[in-house]
Amino acid sequence: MSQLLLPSLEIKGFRGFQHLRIENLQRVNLIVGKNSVGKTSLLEALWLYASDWNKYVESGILRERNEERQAHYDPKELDYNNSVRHLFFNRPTLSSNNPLEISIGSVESPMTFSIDTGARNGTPRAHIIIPVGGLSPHEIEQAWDAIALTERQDYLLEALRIIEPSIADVNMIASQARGGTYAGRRVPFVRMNGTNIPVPLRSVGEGMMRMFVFALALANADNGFLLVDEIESGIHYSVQPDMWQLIFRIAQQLNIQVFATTHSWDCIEGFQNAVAKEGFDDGLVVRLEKHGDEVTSTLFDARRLSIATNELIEIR
Amino acid sequence: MSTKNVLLVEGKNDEHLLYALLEHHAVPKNSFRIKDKQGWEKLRRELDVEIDASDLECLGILVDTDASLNGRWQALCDILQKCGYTSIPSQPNALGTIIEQSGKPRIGVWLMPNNKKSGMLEDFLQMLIPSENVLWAYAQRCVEELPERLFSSTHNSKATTYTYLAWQEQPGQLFSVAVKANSFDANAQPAQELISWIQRLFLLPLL
Repeated sequence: MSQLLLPSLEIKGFRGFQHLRIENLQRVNLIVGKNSVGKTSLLEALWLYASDWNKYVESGILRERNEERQAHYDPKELDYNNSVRHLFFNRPTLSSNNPLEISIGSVESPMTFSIDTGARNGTPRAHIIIPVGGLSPHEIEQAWDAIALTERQDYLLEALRIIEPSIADVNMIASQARGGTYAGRRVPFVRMNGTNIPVPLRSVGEGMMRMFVFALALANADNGFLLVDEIESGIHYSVQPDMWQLIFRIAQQLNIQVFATTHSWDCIEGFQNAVAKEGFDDGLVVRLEKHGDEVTSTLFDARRLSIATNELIEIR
Repeated sequence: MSTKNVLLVEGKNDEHLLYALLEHHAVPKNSFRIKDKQGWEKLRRELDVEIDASDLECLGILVDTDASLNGRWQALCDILQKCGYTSIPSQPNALGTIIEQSGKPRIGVWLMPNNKKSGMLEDFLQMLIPSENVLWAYAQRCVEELPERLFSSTHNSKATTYTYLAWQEQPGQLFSVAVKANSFDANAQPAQELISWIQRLFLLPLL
């Protein structure tokens, strides 16, 4: 088994995390916890880490939360400082006289960031983040083109067949839309066994589209990170154990470290089922909890997950 | 049933006896959940996960100490320390231990029979029998004078208790039923102390 990219995680001064320390991570990590405890912030931190604080990633994160270029009373203050302050703990006023640092990474070798120096000691890694809304049509096209006609394309069929075993083939075909998001884009189509008509994947079901995107992202994230926000959305609980097994298997084969968040008990249960299977014990549930200003983590590895399942212990 | 307040016990006998004592002392049954962990070994293995249940506010642990009160206390202290409890008293409190730590569930420990000597549930029950009880005295003598002894000496009180129960108006009743039938005195001091520990632990109104 290859070394994990992040064997542990320490975050200092980022968003709601004054100092979060997670001693041990695993290959597949499921983040749980109450609303606004910082599950999405944790994914954002990992995204910045994986990209070595890429400027596009940074502005994407700020834009997603309407934090870009906020109006401010002082016109001399730089727009950038005024916007990026939202990423710092307690949203301080940033200036060169106030050199605050954010630190994200393993306990041993974190990446640090300040507005003066940018990111330091980071190494960009392959990474894909899947927000709640999924990937954009353009991102899907790019990811498809990167693996089309390679063995990794098989992962896509495998993923789709978890929900619909009669899928015969999948391909990307130009959309007929004349306007809107899909105009001029290729979109996924599938063919069912015993038929000769390609059907748009999206018309087969939202769960199919999610599953396709997971497999596509995994197939593109070798030796890197897959980050998924609210992984359960659109996926029926009955297929979640199989979904997790596929994620574990591809993550192992391509040396990917996976971080996903969820609210759903069904999703955790599916995860617990997968972790209980032989060869899939490299999964971890991380529960984030807020105590005043401090966020703490409680870890459930394979042993503890199996006890929780058998003893009906609530770990969300 | 509350999952905020949980009391872990080793077996069905503990569970049923507790229900009988609680009922006698008019403690509402649903104010906490009694969870049978099926033996000390399983309880010990799984305690760290029980403590980390997300909705837990208060966890009681009621265990036999068998041959060694100190050994069992130390084993529990080790687990609690690993779970991040930093202010554990060096000795168990004679009235039942309660450990508080901010940001963590409150923990209670009751070591059978009375947090002072080694023993088990039956040793506790024995303390609920008035000293002048003639059947109990006779049961003790019978067990002492057995022509052949198949059980270990730690099980003396267990053998005596079941012998005593065999001679009640309804022979061979469960501990819980025997409490209701007054074969054991639910008002005896040790029972009062146990109930009071439960009330303090789960912050129940004192009666």
